[in-house]
Amino acid sequence: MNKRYRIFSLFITSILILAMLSGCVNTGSTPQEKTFNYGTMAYGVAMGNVGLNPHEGYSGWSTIRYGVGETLFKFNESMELEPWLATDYEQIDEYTVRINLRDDVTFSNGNKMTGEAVKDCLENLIAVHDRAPSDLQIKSIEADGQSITITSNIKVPGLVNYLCDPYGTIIDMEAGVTEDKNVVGTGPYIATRVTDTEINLISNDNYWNGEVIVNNINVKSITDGDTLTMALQSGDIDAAQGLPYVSLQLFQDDPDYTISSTNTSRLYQAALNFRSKLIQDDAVREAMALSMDKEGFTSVLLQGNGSPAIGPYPANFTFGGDAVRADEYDIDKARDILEDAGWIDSDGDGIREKDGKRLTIRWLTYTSRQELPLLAESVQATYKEAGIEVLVNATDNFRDFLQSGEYDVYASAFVAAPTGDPQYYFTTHVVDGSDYNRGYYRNDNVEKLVEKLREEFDTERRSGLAVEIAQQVLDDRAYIYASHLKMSFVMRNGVAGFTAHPSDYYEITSKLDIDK
Amino acid sequence: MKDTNAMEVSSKGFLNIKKEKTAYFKLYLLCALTGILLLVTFFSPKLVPFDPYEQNLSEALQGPSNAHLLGTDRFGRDMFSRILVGGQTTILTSLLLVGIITSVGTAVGVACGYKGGKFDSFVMRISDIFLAFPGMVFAIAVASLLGGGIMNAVIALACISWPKYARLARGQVLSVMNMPFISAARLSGSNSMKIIIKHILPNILGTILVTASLDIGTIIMELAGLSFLGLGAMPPTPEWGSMMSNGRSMLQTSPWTVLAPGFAIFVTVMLFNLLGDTLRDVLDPKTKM
Repeated sequence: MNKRYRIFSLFITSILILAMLSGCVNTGSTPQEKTFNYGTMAYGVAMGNVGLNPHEGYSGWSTIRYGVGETLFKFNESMELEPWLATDYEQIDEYTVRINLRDDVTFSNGNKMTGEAVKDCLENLIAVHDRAPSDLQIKSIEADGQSITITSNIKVPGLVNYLCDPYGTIIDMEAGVTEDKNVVGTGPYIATRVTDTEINLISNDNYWNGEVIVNNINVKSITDGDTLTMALQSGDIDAAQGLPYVSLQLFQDDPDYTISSTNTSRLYQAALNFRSKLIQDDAVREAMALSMDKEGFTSVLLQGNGSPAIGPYPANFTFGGDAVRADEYDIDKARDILEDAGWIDSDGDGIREKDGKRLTIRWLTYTSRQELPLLAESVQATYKEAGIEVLVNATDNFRDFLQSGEYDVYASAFVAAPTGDPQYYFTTHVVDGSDYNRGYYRNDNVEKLVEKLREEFDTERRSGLAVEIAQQVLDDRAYIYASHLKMSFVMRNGVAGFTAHPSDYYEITSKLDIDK
Repeated sequence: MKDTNAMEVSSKGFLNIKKEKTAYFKLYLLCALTGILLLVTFFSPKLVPFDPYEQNLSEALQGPSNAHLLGTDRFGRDMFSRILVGGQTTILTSLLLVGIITSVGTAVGVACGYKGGKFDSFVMRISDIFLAFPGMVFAIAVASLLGGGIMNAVIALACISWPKYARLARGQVLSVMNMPFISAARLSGSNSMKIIIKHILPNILGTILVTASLDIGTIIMELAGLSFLGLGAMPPTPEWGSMMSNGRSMLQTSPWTVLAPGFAIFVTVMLFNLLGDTLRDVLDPKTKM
């Protein structure tokens, strides 16, 4: 018994020693895989960009942002056009443009990106997308080797700019769109799993534009600012986009984190509803424009993460910044204008009245953009100084109120120049009957100028027209422009090649690197 | 043996008297504290050191100091003043809500219990429908449909809360209805309204009041919860729930913006809950046994 026990012990000991030694074997030189965990507030159902199918709503933003797809042309830091999947373009006549494509691009499944593939993709885009057909006005597309020729129904001077919109992301239509809204693009990453809250990516080993450094990326939708902040602090994520402004200061002075910021054309604006009797009063609109403290809003409430807006476009555009003039913050002048127009505080409660009607503005806005309720509250205080009462309705059910018309002002956020061209904002916000013209604004001069803009190909003259239109809108006080957003990415030290871009399109690129 | 029993009974009686005295002392003390709270809340506009609505961006997010006892919020408004005035929105609205659901629920319950039959079944099935939904989820849905605003939040919470009182009152009425004095009242020719007002209500009101007082704390929390979600008070109305929500993102950088209204809710809810418990101890005969 004793002998058998000894043999058994020896056998077990030998097995254990062998098992230990097997752990010391050199498994070769497999490098450690790099994984990047990214938390963002900008992906999700509420943003209308779930999935990676660029031909559906705003999902193309996710296709480009997370490095799955690319467009024919892209914007540089100055929002000027640069070739990306294309090499150049040629305007044959006012209705026809030829785009030459790169010869060395393959989709992530190995298929070559040819003129025919691009044609298939764009044809599907104009067949199924909601905005693209009216933007692009494509009549026909001809493919010839590595070039395509696009003919338009009407003159579209901004056609190439529109192709930079994320909906213009080139995907392999042969591979199609999977049930979970995944696509095959030409970008440095391939999505392996796509859900409404998370996208998992692996590097595209066949990427045409250089080496992809990070092996795995997990994009997580974190829609609560505090959760996002704490996820970054705890190390659950390596970088974050969309942190609340008040949280940014936690990372600003911390040597363990880096912040990349840029000014964008995301605009916070108030549309004045011309169907409201009160708003139809010129004096009321002028007083409202004079009573908005844009400087206080951007410097204190946005903590410097925004710049006061004059017109719809920020200063980095030739037709933006101080190319136009707007009313400056002047409460005394606002009071005088209202006084002269017969708006007088007869009952001494601080709010003016005229013909028995109280000067009360119904301010409709929503809460999913954290800046908008702040703007509403800021305006509430400054307008009160001028004798205007503001009733704020900050609700995410705002569409019902827009439909019923129960508002005098609708404050919203909008990317004014996503295509680097001024036409987009005017055709969506200013033209009579346009999709986002929530103030039901109409001015015949503006209509004529926008028509001119639609037909003008010369960039300088387009800028001139844009300034003229924006000035007319400002003179009519159809919109009050509050600020432009400064966008920031916060990342822990060790993350490189991850920078904020003014277009708000490009986030994850092949240049992304991480030390783990 | 008899002596021992007598001693036990007398010591029990002594203990009960002592317990009752303590309960009454607690009740008076809590009533006094609640009274002070309500008085301060009611007269808060006269007591505040600063205008709770006045923005002063140059003093935004100042920490607690002699000038601003509880600091300032991101608009530079004095937190102490906003907390005091915010009590009006939070507490008085909650009391209004409790008043509404108690009276409506009790009226419905008494009518059902007294009348019985198909009317009773019909109304109780409606209350079943309301009770079948998870309370807060239903309130959020109603408040979202109606849009923001403290009165819309009150309507939303009233919709979900009345069935509880209706069921309670109905049950109480059914038990009182079998009492001989009701039959005696009927025989003496009293009409239904007189029976309800003079004989039924006084007998069920104690239980209803105790339940209502216990519910005040819950209602304050629910109302603050709806405001926290942006479905209650609209800016610039100071309300403790919405103040907490507004300061939520500043918990790490300016904690006073969350802690001050949070503490106000904590103290108020605790006070009303203790008052409710003590009222039950004093009024409910079962707890005296």
